[in-house]
Amino acid sequence: MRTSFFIILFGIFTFALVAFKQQLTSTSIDFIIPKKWPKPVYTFENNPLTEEGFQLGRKLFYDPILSRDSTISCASCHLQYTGFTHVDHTVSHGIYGRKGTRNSPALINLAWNKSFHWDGGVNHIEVQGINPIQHVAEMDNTLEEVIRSLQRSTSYPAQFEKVFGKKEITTSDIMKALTQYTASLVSSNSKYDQVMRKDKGVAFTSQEKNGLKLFQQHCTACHTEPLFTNTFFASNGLKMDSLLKDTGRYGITYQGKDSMQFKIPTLRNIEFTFPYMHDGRYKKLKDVINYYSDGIDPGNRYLHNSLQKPLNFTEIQKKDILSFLLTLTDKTFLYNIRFSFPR
Amino acid sequence: MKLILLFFLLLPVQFFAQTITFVPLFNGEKVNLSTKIGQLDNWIEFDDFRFYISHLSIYSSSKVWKDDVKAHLIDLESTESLTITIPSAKIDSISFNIGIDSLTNASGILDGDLDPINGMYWAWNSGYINFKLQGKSSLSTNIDQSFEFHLGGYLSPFNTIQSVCFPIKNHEQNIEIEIELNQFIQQTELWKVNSIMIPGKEAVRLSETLPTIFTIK
Repeated sequence: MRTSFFIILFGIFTFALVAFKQQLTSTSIDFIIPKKWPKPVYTFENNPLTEEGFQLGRKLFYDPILSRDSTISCASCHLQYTGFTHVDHTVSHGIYGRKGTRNSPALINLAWNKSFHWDGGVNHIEVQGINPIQHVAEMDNTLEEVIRSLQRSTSYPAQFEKVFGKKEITTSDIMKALTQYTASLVSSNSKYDQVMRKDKGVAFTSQEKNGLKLFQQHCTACHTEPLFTNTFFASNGLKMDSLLKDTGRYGITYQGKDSMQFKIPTLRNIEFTFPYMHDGRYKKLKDVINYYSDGIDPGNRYLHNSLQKPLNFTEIQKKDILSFLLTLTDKTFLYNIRFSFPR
Repeated sequence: MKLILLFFLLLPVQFFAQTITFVPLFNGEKVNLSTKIGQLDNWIEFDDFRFYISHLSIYSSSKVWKDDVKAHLIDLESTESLTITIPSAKIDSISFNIGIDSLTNASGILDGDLDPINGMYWAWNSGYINFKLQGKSSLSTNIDQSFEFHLGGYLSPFNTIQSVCFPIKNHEQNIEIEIELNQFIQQTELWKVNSIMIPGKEAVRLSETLPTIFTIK
């Protein structure tokens, strides 16, 4: 009798303990690497991916609380429907309409990137978010002020505590939460992916097939499959904008060999990430193809090896390449409600 | 009984701890922030002085004690930051780095003394500022007579971290490390260069002078 009483008591106690613990700890989730893809650079090693952490990062991403006058959020310049870039703006603008000097990059498959920004100045995804918060032409805020605002809010402190297990919010908590969201923005379900996976009923048209062939011949040295970037830097021969005077990677390494080199962007969802190039000088994809085909000055001393011989595509070839590039559109990514504004 | 217990509890703190204290000087005089040093036409004033110490090691006969704290931010504005507590030992020599190593510089977001909120981090060109000295001087050619030196950078060939090693004569005493700022100011040639805010050649040249301004009597 007495023993059974203790057994029952023990049972209740254990149940309560488990239930209590469940409430305190967050739910871990797996980061899924698409089949046959390389290993990601970011592995959530010191930042275990959890549902609560992801949702907190998502909330921060869409919250103007990060900017000095609470007018803009990350999403102001990184809209999901356009591959998380600032559509229609050559260069992006921040608070009070202040203009930056570069075209906001698409946020796609960031976990596979070794560096960030057009000049690769940021060496780790976790520290990227400090830039837009502090930049005068972006959110023009301070880390101190962001922490104060979050700590004062009615909802954030409890959410942070649930994810990071402590009352006080620090820079690293904010950056890690944001990273849980941004590193999770994986696009791997375009028509191209479906064809490569041999999904039933999906096939390239003959035009797309010709386009892929030309693409693999001339473009994959830099826009390497399956990420459609080799994540390195190169000069595609674009002349320096006389007003912006952007020297690219040189501004980070101060070495002549890096002059006019910019980070090679992914081409995934390229249909929607216009305008194109680091300064957004081309509005249409066909302008970009025309530039690579006939517009490059072969005398440009910074030019990447693969572009030194003019490509001179025929009009049909240009159309083929364009139709292939459109197969990199991934609507399940662009319209994934898990990535959209949290309601 | 209780007293004896208390004695043993306090023992580690009382007897098994030694300290290393950094003492910034200008021509041998202790430096206070925002205080003019010198005369009417030849003066200098420091408003901000901080730097990182990392990989602190203490050598005593055959033993080596390695600091498990990644880095210490030494900030003249905060008196307690000037002193580091180490385990008590008969110290033969100590070594440390002035600045942050490349591995730590590329390790993502970090906490405590390495939190970017401390104003010792470049976000646009990821990496820590190893050594920061700001102020005003009659030697500066700036309109407001200001000068600012932010020394950092970890990418080859502009790696700025420096390592120093000191033999210790008074083995069992607290250690005082003097930092002669005038020696640094002379090296900067303030009348020519009054601002360094990026990694590069100049940052490397000035960083290489840092080990010479740290001394132990």
